[in-house]
Amino acid sequence: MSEPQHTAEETRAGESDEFARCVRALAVWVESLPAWPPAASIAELWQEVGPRLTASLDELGRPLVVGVLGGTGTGKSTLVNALAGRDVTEASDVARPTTVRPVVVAAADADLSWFPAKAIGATVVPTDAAAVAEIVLVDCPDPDTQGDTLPADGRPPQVASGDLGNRDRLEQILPLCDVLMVVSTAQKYRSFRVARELAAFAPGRPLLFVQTHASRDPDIRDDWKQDLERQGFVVPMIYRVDGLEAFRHVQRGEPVDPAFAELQTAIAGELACRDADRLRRNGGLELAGWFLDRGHERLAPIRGPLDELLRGVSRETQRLEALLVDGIARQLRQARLGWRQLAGRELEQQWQGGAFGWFLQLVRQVAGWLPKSRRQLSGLVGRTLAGQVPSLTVSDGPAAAAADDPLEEALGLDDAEVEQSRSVLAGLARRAAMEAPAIQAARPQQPSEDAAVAMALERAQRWLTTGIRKAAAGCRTRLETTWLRVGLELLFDAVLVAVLARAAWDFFHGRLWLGESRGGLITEAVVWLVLWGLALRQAAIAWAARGVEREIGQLAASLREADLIQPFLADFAASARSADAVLHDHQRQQEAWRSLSATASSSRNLARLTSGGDTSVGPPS
Amino acid sequence: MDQTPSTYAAWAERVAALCAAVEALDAAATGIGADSSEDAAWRGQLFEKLRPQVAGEPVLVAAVCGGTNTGKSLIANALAGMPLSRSILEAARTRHPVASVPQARASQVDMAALFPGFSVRPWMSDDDALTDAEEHLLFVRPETTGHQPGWLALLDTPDIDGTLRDNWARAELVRNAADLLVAVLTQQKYNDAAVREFFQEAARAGKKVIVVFNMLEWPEQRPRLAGWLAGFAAGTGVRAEAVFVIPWDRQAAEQGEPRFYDVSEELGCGDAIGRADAQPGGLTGRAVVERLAASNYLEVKWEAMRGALQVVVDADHGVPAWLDRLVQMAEAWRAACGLLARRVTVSIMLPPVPRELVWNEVWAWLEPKRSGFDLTVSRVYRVAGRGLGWAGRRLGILPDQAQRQADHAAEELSALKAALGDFLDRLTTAAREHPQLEAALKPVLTDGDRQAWFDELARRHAAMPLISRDYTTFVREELDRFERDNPGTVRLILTALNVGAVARPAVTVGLGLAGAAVVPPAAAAAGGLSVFVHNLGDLVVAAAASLAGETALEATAAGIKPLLERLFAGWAAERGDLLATMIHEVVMGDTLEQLESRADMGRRLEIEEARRLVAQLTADLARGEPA
Repeated sequence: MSEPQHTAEETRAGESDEFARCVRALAVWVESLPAWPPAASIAELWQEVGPRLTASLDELGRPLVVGVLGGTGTGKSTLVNALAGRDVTEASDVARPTTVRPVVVAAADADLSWFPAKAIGATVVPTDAAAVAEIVLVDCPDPDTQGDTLPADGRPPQVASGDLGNRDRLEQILPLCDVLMVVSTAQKYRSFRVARELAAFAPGRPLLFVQTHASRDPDIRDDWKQDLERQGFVVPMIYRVDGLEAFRHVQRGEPVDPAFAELQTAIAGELACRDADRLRRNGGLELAGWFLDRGHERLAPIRGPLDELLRGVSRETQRLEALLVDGIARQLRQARLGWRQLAGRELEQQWQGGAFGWFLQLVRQVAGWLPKSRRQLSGLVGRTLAGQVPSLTVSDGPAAAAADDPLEEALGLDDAEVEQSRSVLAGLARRAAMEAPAIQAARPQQPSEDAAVAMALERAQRWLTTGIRKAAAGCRTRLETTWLRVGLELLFDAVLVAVLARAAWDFFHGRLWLGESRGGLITEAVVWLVLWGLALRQAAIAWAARGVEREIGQLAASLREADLIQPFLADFAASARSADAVLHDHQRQQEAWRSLSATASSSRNLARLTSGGDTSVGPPS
Repeated sequence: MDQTPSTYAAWAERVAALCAAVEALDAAATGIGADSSEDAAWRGQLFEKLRPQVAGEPVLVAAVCGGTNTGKSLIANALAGMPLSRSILEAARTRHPVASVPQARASQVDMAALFPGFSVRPWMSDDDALTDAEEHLLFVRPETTGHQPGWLALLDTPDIDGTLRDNWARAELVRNAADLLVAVLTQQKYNDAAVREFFQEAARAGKKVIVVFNMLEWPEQRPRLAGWLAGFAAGTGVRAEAVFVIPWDRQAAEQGEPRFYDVSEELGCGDAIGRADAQPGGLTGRAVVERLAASNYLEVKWEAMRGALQVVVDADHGVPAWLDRLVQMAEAWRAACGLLARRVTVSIMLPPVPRELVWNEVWAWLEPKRSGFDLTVSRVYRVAGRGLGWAGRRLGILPDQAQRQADHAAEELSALKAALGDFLDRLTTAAREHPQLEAALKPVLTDGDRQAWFDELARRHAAMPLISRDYTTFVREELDRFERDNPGTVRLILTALNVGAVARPAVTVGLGLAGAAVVPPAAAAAGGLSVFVHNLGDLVVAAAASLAGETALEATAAGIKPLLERLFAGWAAERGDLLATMIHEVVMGDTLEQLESRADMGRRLEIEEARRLVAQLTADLARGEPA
């Protein structure tokens, strides 16, 4: 017999571990929410819900606090007296409202050190009644005699000390309650103000509905149940008692009528200490479910706009990238001269040794002496090719003249296009409830714009340097082709040898042997040799540069991988992603809690608020 | 007493005029941000009481009101002496009011006019009032027994405190129209906030109230009555004309024959609605109405009409306070418009004008008029210039004209796009500073399809010719005028033409709203230039151009430089117009008109008219009793 019980207890412990884990995970999620307004409103709601959920983890073993909630004159105090078995709280018809200060009824030996009775101005009354032995019963003030606004010509009557009305006091007490006993009569069960208060405090609290004045009022339980179900409550049972008669019976020591006895049994059976933790946990599950449903209400309308924003970010990124590719490709093509110079430099560095190599070095030396008159190359491509490191501070250096649009100058991307994209995204972001400061304006502030441009330039330069290095390596490979080297060397050497041979023949045979005086060959030979060398050099460069054309094409195509546009739209992308994560995580939380709730056992007699109800009776503002 | 109706009639014209003024203001005041809930009281009295009841035969409207399940229908049926609305155990089942009107009167009185807000239906059965319809219905049952006086309309109403808010609204409409209320109270509900608030309004509007305490333990609770009534009176300001008690008696309730015990005397009520001899078994509902029939109903009616007017003209909570609030809100909107006008000004950085465009226009005007040496010299310049241009293009130093114009168009579009982005940014920033603007501009900033705007801008720009017919006309008019004003100096234009002055235009587009400086600051800051300003709906376009680079022009007679600047500025303004028109037609829609109409609210004639009428009605009220 003890074996299965043991297992059941273990299961329960396992469930509560799982519950604790889920509460902690939920808390961590809420902590990590961004400042995005829909998320912030969820975090705000958590301010109320969070402490209750975490408290349900800590307060293991303590008795349940049962608050008696109902309109004035419905017999709350009479019912409390009947349950307590003696006159613990004033119940009368002299003047409404009767109960102003709450009365707390608990077993005489109960430890109430954890209950802030003083803070809420409550009187604590001990009792030995069996029905209240294992709970703490609180007779609350009514929610319906206090006006929403104090009337202009004076205060409502019978306002107790301080500025608090009865509803204010009630709203201090209800958060402390674990269970609500909702008391009503035929006159009051459809009262708006009571319903409003109930809707605000029902989430996560098991409920016990009681119709009083049974001996006089008709039985309205069916209609009440319908009305409650319309508001989203699940009501398995409404008790119908007559508090006054029950109290008379109890006082006289007579047996109470069956309906009242049923209520007593329900309290003793369902709300006893041994079930307190389970009830609190069930309440916690419902509360978390309610909280996540409210979160869903806030997030669901954002789903569409957020998807639109995410699509917008990728669409605008692609649009700008396409424009950038066009711009840079144009620059790359315009920088032909630069590519040739690159090929020339490669050639000069590569060709060491040999007569042709010696000739190339000579050309380089001579070119070094010539005044530098080559055309200033513009744009990032041109400057990088020319071996200048483009300045990252946009207004310095050779770009200063075009500093009013560094993007245009350096990357061939029009500033206005970036602004258009940002403006379009700003509109989409507003629809997804995103506002400054998460989202910057379409025209970014100067420092952040400079930073974005600098970042883009840095990335562009890195990408370009890699590309150029690759192109240079391509050049090198082409120049390293053996037949090219051998061929060019042979062609140059052949002429050189021929000239030298002819010069030698002329000198030895003609001048020295025959004594002829023939001149001019050397000058002519040098001229033609230089021209021949230069022609070969051009041919080599043309050969090397021919491959570069292909490299340029590949380079432009690889631009998308460089992610150059990212800095300009980074804030939108980041905000959209973080909002998207909120929605995803919320869904995950909801699934986790749903599967946890599926394991909860529902009570036979207690009512509860489900989330899918009519919320037209909202919480008090 | 017979003059009383004619006194209402004297008010009738003013009340009608006041209603018209209020309605006209209401139409314009939508969205102005005045909280309409504060106006509920005087609106109710003006539109639901005074307007329908100020003319015509007076009918005393008596309504049975109270919380859910307090027995209103039972009492109303008893008073009417016939079933109006079925009395049901469950709460909040009477959904629509039912009126009992004497047969003789039913044909004369236009109930639909008497109860605005309701759609009036003939009564078919006592289930009518339970109909679950969203529309406010009012069922009229002609009274045939003859015991109800001809001047009395008796109504049963829905509850005032249940979860169905439509019921409250219907009860409030009936209460506003009523002269006399039968307040059904119980020991559970006499001090409920919802009940108190409902009857507070009635007390403020001078309506008479008969209190009926229902479902009492009788006579056990008799000693409680004075305290309860005092509590109710303190909470609502109601001075009960009479107090009846209906003891709790299930049998009587089931038979529909509750007994009314008159406790008015012991509770110290007045005798405005008469007294009846104490009956040991209590009165029937019919007897209560008979007593009511003996009272001076015109007096009650007159008090209620006065009370209603009092609420309407009340300086702190009536029409005057509303008018003050409107003026105040309008000022806030004016300030908001001023903020927009100051902040939302964008300058468009247009590329330099392709100078041959303007010059060609000038030349086209000039050529047929002039002859002689000047013209020859100019032609030489022109031909030489063309030649140089041709040579330059051939050598690839100068780009060809088509390419240049395409580049110019691209640069211009980019400037316009940047300006549109800037405009939206500035609008956003302004809205952020002003919560009212944030809401008013939401249709633009949040709901607007910005992608479509940029596309539309590009489309319009592509469709716009470089030189429009308007501009050609403008140039000709300007030059004609210049020639008229400065005869003999047209030669100078040729000088300018030959020097080839180039202009850098500056265009700004701003919002020309109430409180705006007419010249947007950026244009004014260009300093000492001729500024070209014109309005385009709610937008202002200003353009300025500064001629650069020729001291030769400085030396010439005054007049030529401003003329040329104007010609260039005019061209630039036309480019700015493109953006302004686009913003006006596509981006802003009617938002700016709305803002302006809100800002102008405080200056509307209806406000003064309404104030005058209120003053007259206040004077009428002070005159006291009807003559």
